[in-house]
Amino acid sequence: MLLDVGAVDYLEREPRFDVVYHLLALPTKPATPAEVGTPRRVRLLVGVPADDTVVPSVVDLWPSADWAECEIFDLYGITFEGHPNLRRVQMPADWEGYPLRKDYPMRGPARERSPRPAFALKSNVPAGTPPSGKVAEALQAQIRRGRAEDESQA
Amino acid sequence: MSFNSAGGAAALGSIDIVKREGNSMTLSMGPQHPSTHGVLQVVVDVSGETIERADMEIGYLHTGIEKSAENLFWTQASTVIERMDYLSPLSNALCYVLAVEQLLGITDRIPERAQQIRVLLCELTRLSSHCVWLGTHGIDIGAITTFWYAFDIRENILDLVEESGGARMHPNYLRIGGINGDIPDGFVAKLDALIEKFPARMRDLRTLLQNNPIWRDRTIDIGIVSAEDAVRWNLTGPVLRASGVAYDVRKAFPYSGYQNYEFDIPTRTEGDAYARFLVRLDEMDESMRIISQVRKAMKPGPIMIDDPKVAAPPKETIALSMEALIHHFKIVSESFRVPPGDVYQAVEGPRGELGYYIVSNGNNRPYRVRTRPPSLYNLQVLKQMALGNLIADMVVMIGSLDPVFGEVDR
Repeated sequence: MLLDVGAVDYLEREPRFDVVYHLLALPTKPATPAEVGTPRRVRLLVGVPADDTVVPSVVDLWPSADWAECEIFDLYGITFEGHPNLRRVQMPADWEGYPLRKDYPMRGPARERSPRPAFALKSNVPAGTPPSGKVAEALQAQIRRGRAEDESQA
Repeated sequence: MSFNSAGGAAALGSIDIVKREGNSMTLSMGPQHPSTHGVLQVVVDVSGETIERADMEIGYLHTGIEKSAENLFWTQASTVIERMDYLSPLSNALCYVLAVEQLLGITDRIPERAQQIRVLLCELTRLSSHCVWLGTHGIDIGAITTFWYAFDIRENILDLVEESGGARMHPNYLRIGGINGDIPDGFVAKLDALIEKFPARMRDLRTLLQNNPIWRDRTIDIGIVSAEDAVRWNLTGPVLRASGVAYDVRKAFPYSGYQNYEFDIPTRTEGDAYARFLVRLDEMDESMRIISQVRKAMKPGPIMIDDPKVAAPPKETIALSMEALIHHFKIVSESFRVPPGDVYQAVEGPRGELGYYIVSNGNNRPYRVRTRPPSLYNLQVLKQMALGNLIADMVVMIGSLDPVFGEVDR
C-alpha cells in the first residue's frame, strides 16, 4: 500500500522538487502478526524540474492518494496528471502562491507587499525627533526640558 | 413566533439542504457539526435515506505547522509538531524526536530510562486518546454515560502528563537525546493508583456498551471495510486491524524498546464499526499491559544522552562552571546542527501509522518536515464506506474512524 506522498523543495538544486512516495508491502487479506512480519518499506523519489512541474497521478491505484496529491498541488504547485479533481484542499481556493515553496515568504506575499501598519512602527523615539535621527540627542534634550520645567515649578 | 419552529431549526443543526430533486437530496453536513469531531464538511447525496455519494471537504484547520517547523530550531520544532494531533501530542513528539535521532546517529545511545519513560507516556497518551474517542463516539450514538467514565480515566492520565512535563495537553517533554528532566516524586504512586483502578473502569465501560443492544444495533454491519479495501485505501491502525490485517508499527518496526515488552495485536475480521470499537477497547487493555511492564522494569538512571553536542549541561552545573553556562547558552540560542540526509520514521499512534519524513541540509533548523498523518488517509475511506448506508449512520462511521483534524489539516 501507499504509505504517503510528500514533496520537498530544494530551491537551488536541479531538478528543483522531489515528490516522495513511501510504499509498504502488506497482505491484502486477513493476516496474523506472524504473516505480516516486517513488511518491506520502499521510498521512491521522483525529481521534478521547476519549469515542468507535472507528475502522473497514482489515484487510480490508491484512491486515498487523492488528498495527499491535492495537498502537494496546493502547497508546492506540482500538478498531477490524471487526477480526477485536483484542487486546493488546505488553502482557500483563491490563494496566491504555494506556501511550502522555499521562496515563499514566511508572512505571506500579501503582507510582504503592504507597508507595515503605523502601530507596528512605533518605537520609543520621542515626538519631535529631527529626521536626521539623532535619537540620543533628542532624548537628552527631552530630559533637560523636563528638568527645567521641574525647576521652574519649584 | 413559536418555540417549536425555532427548536426544529436548531435540531437540524448545521445540516443544510443544498438541492432537492424528487426522492433524492444533496445535503451539506458540517463543517460546524458536533459529530464531525472537528471541522469536516461532508456533502452527501441521499436517495430517501440511503447515501449514494459522500464528498468531504477539509482544510478548515490548516495552520501551516510544517512551514513553521522549517523556521524553528530542531528542538523548538517539536513544540509545534505536538500540536498536530492534539489528542496524542506525545506520539507526535516521539516520532519526530526518533527521526532526528536517526539523522544524528545517536539512536543506540539513548539511556534506557528515557526510553522507558517515553514508552510509558506514549501508551498513556494512547489510552487518553482512545478515552476521548470512546466518550465522543458514545455521545454521537446517544450513550452519554460512557463519556463521564472515559473522561474520568483521561483526567487521571492528564494529571500524570502534567506531573511529568508541566502541561496537561502539550507538555513538550521529549527532547532529542532523551527527556526533559526526570519524572517527579509521587508520579509512580499516582501511576500505581491508575493501574489499580483501570481494570474495573474498563469492565464498567464494556458493561455499558459491549453487549448493549442499542449500541450493537447502531454499530454492527455499519461501514464495512474488507481487508483488501483497507489496504487499497491505505488504512492503518485500529481501522486496518478491525479488517483483519495485524499490522502494528510497534511489532513490525519496533522502536524505543517496544521489542522488550509483551503485548498482543488485537484484530477482528468483520471490518464494521463494532469491530473497530472492540479493537480499540482491546488495545486499551494491551496498552495497560505495556504500562504495567514498563512500571516494573523502570530503574533509576540517566535520562538524557551523554553527548555535549546535543544535550545541554545539567542545570545544577550552570551556577558553578563558566564553561557549562556558555555551553548552555550556545545550545539554547543556536541549537545544534544535524548532518545532511533524509529519514522516514514511523510510530504507532493511536490512529495508525504516524510517520515523519525529515530532510536536513546540515543546518540548525529542519529543512523539511513532512508528516504522514494517519487520519488524513483513514478518513478518505468514508467515500466508499458510506455508500448504501443510512444518513443516520454517517456520524457512526465518522466516529468509528476517529479522525483528528489538527492532524488532517496541519
